[in-house]
Amino acid sequence: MVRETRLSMRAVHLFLAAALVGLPGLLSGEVSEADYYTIETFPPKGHTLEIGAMTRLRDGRILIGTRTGDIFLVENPYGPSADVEYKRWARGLAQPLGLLQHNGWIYAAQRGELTRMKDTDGDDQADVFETVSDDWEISGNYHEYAFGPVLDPEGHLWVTLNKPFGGQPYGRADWRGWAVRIDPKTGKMEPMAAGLRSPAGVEVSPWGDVFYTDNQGEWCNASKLSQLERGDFHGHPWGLPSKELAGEPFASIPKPESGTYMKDLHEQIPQFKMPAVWFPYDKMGMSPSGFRWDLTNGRFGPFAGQMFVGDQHHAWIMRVFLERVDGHWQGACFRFRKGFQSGIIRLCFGKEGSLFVGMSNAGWSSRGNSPWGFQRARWTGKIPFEIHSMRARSDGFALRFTKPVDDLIASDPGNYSMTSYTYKLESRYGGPEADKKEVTIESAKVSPDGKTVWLTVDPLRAGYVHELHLSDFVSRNGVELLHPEAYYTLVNIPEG
Amino acid sequence: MIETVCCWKRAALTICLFGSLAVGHGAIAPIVPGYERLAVEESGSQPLRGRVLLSELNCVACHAGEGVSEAELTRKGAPDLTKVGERITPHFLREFLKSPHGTQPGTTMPDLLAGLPVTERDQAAEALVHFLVSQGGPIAESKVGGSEHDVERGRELFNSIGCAACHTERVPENERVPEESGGLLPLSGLAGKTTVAELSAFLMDPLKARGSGRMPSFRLDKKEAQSIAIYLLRDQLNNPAAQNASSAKVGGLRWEYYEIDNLGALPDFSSHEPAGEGEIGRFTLDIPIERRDNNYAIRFKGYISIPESGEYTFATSSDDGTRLVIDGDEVVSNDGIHPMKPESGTIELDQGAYPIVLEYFEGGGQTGLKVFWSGPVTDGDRRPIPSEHLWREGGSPMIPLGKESFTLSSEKVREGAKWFAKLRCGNCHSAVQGVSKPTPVPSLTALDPNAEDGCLRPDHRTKTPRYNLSDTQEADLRAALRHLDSGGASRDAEAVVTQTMAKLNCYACHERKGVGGPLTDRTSFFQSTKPIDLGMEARIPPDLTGVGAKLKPEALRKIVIEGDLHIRHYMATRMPSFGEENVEPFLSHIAEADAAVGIKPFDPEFSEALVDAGRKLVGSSGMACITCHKIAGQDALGIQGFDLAMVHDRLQPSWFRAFLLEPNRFKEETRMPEFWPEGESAFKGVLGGDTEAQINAIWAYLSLEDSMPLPEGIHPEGSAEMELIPKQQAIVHRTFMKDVGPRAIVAGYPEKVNVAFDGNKIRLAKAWRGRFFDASGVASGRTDEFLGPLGHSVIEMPPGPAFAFLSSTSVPWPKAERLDRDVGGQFQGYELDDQGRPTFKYQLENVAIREKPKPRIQPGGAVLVRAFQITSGSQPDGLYFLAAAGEQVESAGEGVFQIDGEKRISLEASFPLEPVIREQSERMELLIPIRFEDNNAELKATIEW
Repeated sequence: MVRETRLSMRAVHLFLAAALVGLPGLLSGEVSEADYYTIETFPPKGHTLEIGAMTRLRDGRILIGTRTGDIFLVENPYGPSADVEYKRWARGLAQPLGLLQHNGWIYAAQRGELTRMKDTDGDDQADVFETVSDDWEISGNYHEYAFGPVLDPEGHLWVTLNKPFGGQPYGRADWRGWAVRIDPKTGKMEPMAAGLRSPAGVEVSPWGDVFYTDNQGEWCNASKLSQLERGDFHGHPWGLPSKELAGEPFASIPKPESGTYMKDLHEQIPQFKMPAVWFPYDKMGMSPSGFRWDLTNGRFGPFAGQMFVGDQHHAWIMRVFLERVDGHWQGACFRFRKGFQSGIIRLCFGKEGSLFVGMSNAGWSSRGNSPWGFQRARWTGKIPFEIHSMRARSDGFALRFTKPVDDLIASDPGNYSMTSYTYKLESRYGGPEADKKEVTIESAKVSPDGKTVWLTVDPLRAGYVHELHLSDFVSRNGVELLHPEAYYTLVNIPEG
Repeated sequence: MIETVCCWKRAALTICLFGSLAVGHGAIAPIVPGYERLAVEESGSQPLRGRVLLSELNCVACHAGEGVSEAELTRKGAPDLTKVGERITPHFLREFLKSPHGTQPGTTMPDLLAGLPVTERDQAAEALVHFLVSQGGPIAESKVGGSEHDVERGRELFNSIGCAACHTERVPENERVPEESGGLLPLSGLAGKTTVAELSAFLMDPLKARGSGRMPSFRLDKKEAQSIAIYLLRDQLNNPAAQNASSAKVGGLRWEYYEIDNLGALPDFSSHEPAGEGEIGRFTLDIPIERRDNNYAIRFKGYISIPESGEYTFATSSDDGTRLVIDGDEVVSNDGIHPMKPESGTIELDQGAYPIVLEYFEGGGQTGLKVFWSGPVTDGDRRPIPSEHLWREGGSPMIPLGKESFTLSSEKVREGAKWFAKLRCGNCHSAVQGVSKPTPVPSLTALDPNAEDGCLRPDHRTKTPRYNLSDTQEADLRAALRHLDSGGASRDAEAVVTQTMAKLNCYACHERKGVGGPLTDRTSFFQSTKPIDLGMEARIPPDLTGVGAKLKPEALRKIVIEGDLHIRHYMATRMPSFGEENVEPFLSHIAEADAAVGIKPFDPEFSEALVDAGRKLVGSSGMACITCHKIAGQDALGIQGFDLAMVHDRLQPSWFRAFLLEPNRFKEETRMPEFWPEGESAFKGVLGGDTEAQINAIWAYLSLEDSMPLPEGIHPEGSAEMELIPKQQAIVHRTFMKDVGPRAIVAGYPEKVNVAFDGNKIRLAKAWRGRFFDASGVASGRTDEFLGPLGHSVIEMPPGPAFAFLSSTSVPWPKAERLDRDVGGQFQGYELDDQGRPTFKYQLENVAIREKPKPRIQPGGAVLVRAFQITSGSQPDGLYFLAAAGEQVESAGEGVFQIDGEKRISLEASFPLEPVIREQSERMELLIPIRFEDNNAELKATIEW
C-alpha cells in the first residue's frame, strides 16, 4: 500500500517536470553515467600499453609506464584521442608500477629497486638509470610488486611492497608486505608500516597524509583504503618477520589471531590501524588500485577535493568522500563510472581536468573488452544527481546531494534502507560481511536548500560499514539519482 | 622438365645393371652399389673397379695385400658378431647360413658351407646358429607394438630421408626378389630376422654393429628409428603368433576431449561422453581436434616409466584447472578457474611403470598447460616429462615371423665355435671370444689372376667361399689382381676419392665429375621439405665436383663427420654419417684431387668499413642477397635459400670470389644471378663499383657469421613468444632469469653477443651468442617465469664477484650463493651510450667500478670485451679482478689465457699486468691485482669462445 502511494507521487512529479521542461529524455526519468562523463579510447598505435604507472609531467604531457617494462611519453594527450602519439622514453624496466617527476629525475619503483632516470642528451630517451635504493628484497614470485613512489611533505619517497602469493619456491624476502619510505638524497630506506597485503595504490593526500589501497585476500577480508602512518600494522602477518630489522614500534607486534574482529583488534595490537574505507566485495569492486584526488577545481564536475579510485576487476571508477572523525580518516564510497575497457590500475588528472585511465588485467581477469587499454574520462558539463557526500553524525548521517532533492521523497524514511556489518581478520582468502544487522531509519530531514538530508538511524555501530540504499529517489526537477547507494565505514562515531 | 634434363644420362641404368648382375644359377650376384655405378657408367679403370670389389667383398680380409696401397685396399669389415644373438633370430641365422644368397639376395656374405655334403652342412649350420645365439642371445621378445599410423610414418621417412637412395622397398615375405635390383640393396627377410626394438636400436646407431659405415647413421631419434623399424617389419603386424601375445606398449598418451557447459572446475569425466579422442606424445593442448573457445575438458591417460627410485615432484601450470593422478594418488591439485598458475606435489616412486592421468579444463579466456617433473633423473631441475617416459597400452604386438622356441645347447655352441674358426669367419667378423686365429691363406700378390678355381670359379666340390660373382665382377677382380703392382697411377688422389665414394656409395646421392647422382627412377624419393622455388637444387644433394676447392677442409670434415654445417634446410634427404675412419681417405685426398680446378687465390681483408659496405651490398638497397637467402636465422624476403651466416664457416674465400663472378661456371642450374657480368659491378653505389672491393666487403660482412648486424630490409620478428631482437641498438631488459636470479639485467647487442648482469649479487653472470631473450617470462601470464637465454654458446663468468679485496693470494675468492646480495658491491645502476649499450656501475667499499661489456666484431663472429674503469680516491691495495676460473687455466702468450680449452681471455690494462694463476680446491683461478695511478685504473678483458 505504502509503496503504491510513493510510486504515484513520483509519477506526478515526473509528469510535472516533463511538462515544465519539456525534455523528452526526462519523461522516463532515466539517466546514465555517459550523460555526465564520456569515455574516449586512445589508439595504441602499435604499442602494447599494459599500463601500470602514470603521471603528469610539469609540461602537461602524460608519462605512462607499462607492465611489460616500457615508459612512453604521451604527446597530444588533450586533443582528439586519435591524435595521440607515443614516444618510447625508456624500456626494459621490471614492472614499473609508479612514476614520479621530482628534482629533474623520473622516479619509478621496479620490482627490486627504486630507480631514478634522466634523459641527459635531450633526445626524449632516458640514458641514465640510477639505483636509489634496493634495500627491500625480492625472491622471484610474481606477486612481489612494488608501487610508487609518492612524495610526502618531508621530501621522502613512499613505496608499498606486495607480499608473495601462491607458490613461494625461492624463500622469504624481507620488507615484503611493508610500506617504506626512502630519502632520495641518501637512498636510506625507512620502514613505515607493516601488515600490507597487495597495496596496489599509494598516494599522498592534498593535505600531506599518505593513503593506500589494499586488495582483499588472506588476512584481508575486504578490500580497503587506509591511511599509512609510521608504526602502523595493517593486519597481514606475512611480512612480520622483518619487524626484527625494524625495531620499535614494530618489534612488539604479535602475530594476530585469525578470527578476531578488526574493530576489536586494537585492544590486542595497539599498532593495528583500522581502514578509512572498506570496499564491500563485488558491490564496490574487487581489486581497488590507483586513486587520485580531484584537484581540478570543478573542471571534472561537482566532486572537487574528493578521491577517485580505480578497480582492477570491475573496470570501473569509484568515488570516496573522507572526513576526519576523532583523529581517524574515514568516509563513504560510491560508484562513479563503469564501462572501461579493462582492469584499471592507474588514474591521472590531465592539466585541463580530464581523467586519464590506464589499464591492464595481465595475470587476472577483469571486466571490459580488452586485456589492457588507455582511455580518458571527461565531464560533459552536466551536473549528475548524486550523493555528493555522506558525513557521520552522532545519531546518524548527513547526506549532501549535488542537486536539491525532491522534498516529499527525501523526507520519507521509507525511501531509505540501511544495513551494517563489519569484518574479521582471518587467514582465509577474503571473508564475509560479519555481524550483519538491519538499521532503522528513524527520521529523514531535508535542509532548506534541499541539498542536505539528515538521517537519524538506529543502531549506529562503530567499526561497521553502514550500507545505504535509496529507492525511487529523484531530484527536485525529476532526475533519477544516478547511484542510489553509499557505503560508509564508521570507525568512529562523532560526538554530539 | 628440369628433372629430365638433370638425369638423362642415368636413364638407362636399370637395364644395364641387370646385365652385370645376372649370374647363372638363379640367385643374384653380390650387390656393391657404388661398384655397379662405376661399372655401368664406365667410370674408373677396370682394375680400379676390381679394387673396389677386393675391399667390398673383403678379399683382403684373408688375402693380405702386401705392397698394395692401403688407402685402396682397406678391409670393409663385416658385421660385429659379439652381440649377434641379441639382434637376430635363430631362425634367420639358420636360413642365412644355409643359403646366404637365397635368404638375402645380393649379400656380399659368401656361402661357406656350399662345399660340404648336405647333412654335414645342416649340422654345421645348426652348430653355428647355437654358437652365434650364444653371443648375447637369444633375442628378447619385443614389447613394442605398432599400428598402421607408425607404418605410414616409417614409410614416409624411408622414402624421404635417403634410405630409398640405396635400398629397394622391402619385398613382401615369400616373394622372390626381382633380379633386376637396379644396384639397390633389397631388404628382404627382415620380418623374420629381428624385432622392432633391435632394429630401432640398430637404425639409431648402425655403426655400432656394422663399423664399415656402408649402412650409415642418419642420426635418427628414437621415435623416427622406431617408425622406420615398424615400417620395415610391418609383416609382423599380421603374425598369427601375435594373437596370443600380451598387449604391447606404444609411446604416447591417450587423450579424450569433452565439451561440457558452465565449467567452473574439473568435471566428473565418467558422467560425460568424449567429443573426440586420440593419441599424443606428451601433455599438450596441441591435440589434433578443433576445440571450441570455452567450456571444454581434456583427459590424458597412460603410463609413466620411472627410471630410478626416489622422490619425484610433479608440477602443473595451467589455465584453467588441472589435476594429476599417478597410480591412483592425486599428486597435483590445481583445480578451479585461474590464469597460468603453478601447483606441485611430491610422491615417492620406485623404479617401474605407473598409470598416470592428467585432467584439464578450460572455462573461458586464455588457455595454457605445462607439466613438469623433477627428481633423481632431472638433477633436481624442473623439466617437462620427456615423451619416452610416457606410453600407453595399445598397438599390435610385433613378433618376428617364424618364431621358434630355441634352447641353447652348450655342446652345439662348442661345436659351432670350432666351425667358426675352421671357416675363418673371424677374418671378416670382429673377434668373438674363444675363437682361435685362423690359418693364413695366400696373399693377394701370390694369387693367380687367371686361376680357373678358388673363389673366382668355385664348383660344388671346392671348399672356398662362394660369392656368386657375376661375369663382370669376376673380370674386374682378375684385372685388379693383374694390376696390383702397377697401381702408381691409380693411387692418385682422384682414384682414392672415387674408390671411397664407390665403397660408401656416395654416388647414390651425389654426382662427381659426371658419375653418380640419384638414379632416374629414384628421383621421386628426393624431395624438399617444403615448396621452394629452387628447382632440383632444392631436392638433389649437391654435385661434389670441385668440392675440395669449394669447402674449407675443416668445414668438409664437420659436414661429413659431425653432421654439422648443413645449410640446405629445405632438403628432405639427410646427409648421414659414415664413420670417421671410413670417410678418412676421401677427406684426406679431396683437396689434392680438386687442386687443379683453376681458381685464382683470394686473400680477403677485414675492416669495419668493409663490413659496413658489405652490409649495404647484401641489404635491400644493395644487391639484395636477402631476397633469396636467409641471414643469421632471419627469413629471406622471397625464396628461403640457405643462410648467408654459414658462408664464412664453409666456403674457401677463393671459391666464393670465383663463384660470385661466374655462378654458372660452378652450378649449371643455379638460381644465383650474376651481379658482376664480365667482371663489371651492376651496383655502383658502394665502394665506387670496384668489383674486387665489393666482393671483399661482402666476404668481410659475412665473416661475422652469427654476429652480423642485420642488413637493410630484414625486420625480424622472432619466434619466441615475446622475443627481444636488438636491431640497430642494444636492448637492456630487467627480468627474472634462470640461474641468475630475480634481478637480472640482460643486455643484447646487434652483433648477437648478449650478457646477463646479476643486480642482486652485483656481477656479470653470463654471456651467450645468437638470439637474445624472450621477455614473455616476465611480461605475459603471471610474469614470474625464470627463462634462460634464447641463444647458444652460453658461458658462465667466474663464480662470485668480479672484484674483491684479498689480504693475500691464498685467501679464497668470495662466493655468491643464490640468495646472497651485494657480494660484488652496491649496485648503482647503468648508463646507456648512443647505441643503447649499458655501462654498469657499482661501488665496492671505496672503489667505484664502471663495467661496459661490448661486442667487438671480427671474422668468425664477435668477441666480448669487458672494459672496466676503476676509480678510488684512496688507491687501496689488495683489490683483485677474477678474470677467469676453470679446471684448466693456462697462459697462452702475453696477457692471453686459455680456459678449459674453450675460452680465451686477453687482458690489457693501464698498469703493468701481474697475473696470478692459482689453484683452489675445485678450480684454477686467474687473478689480476689492480694497481691505481692517479686514482684510476683501466682494464679490458676480451673473451673469445
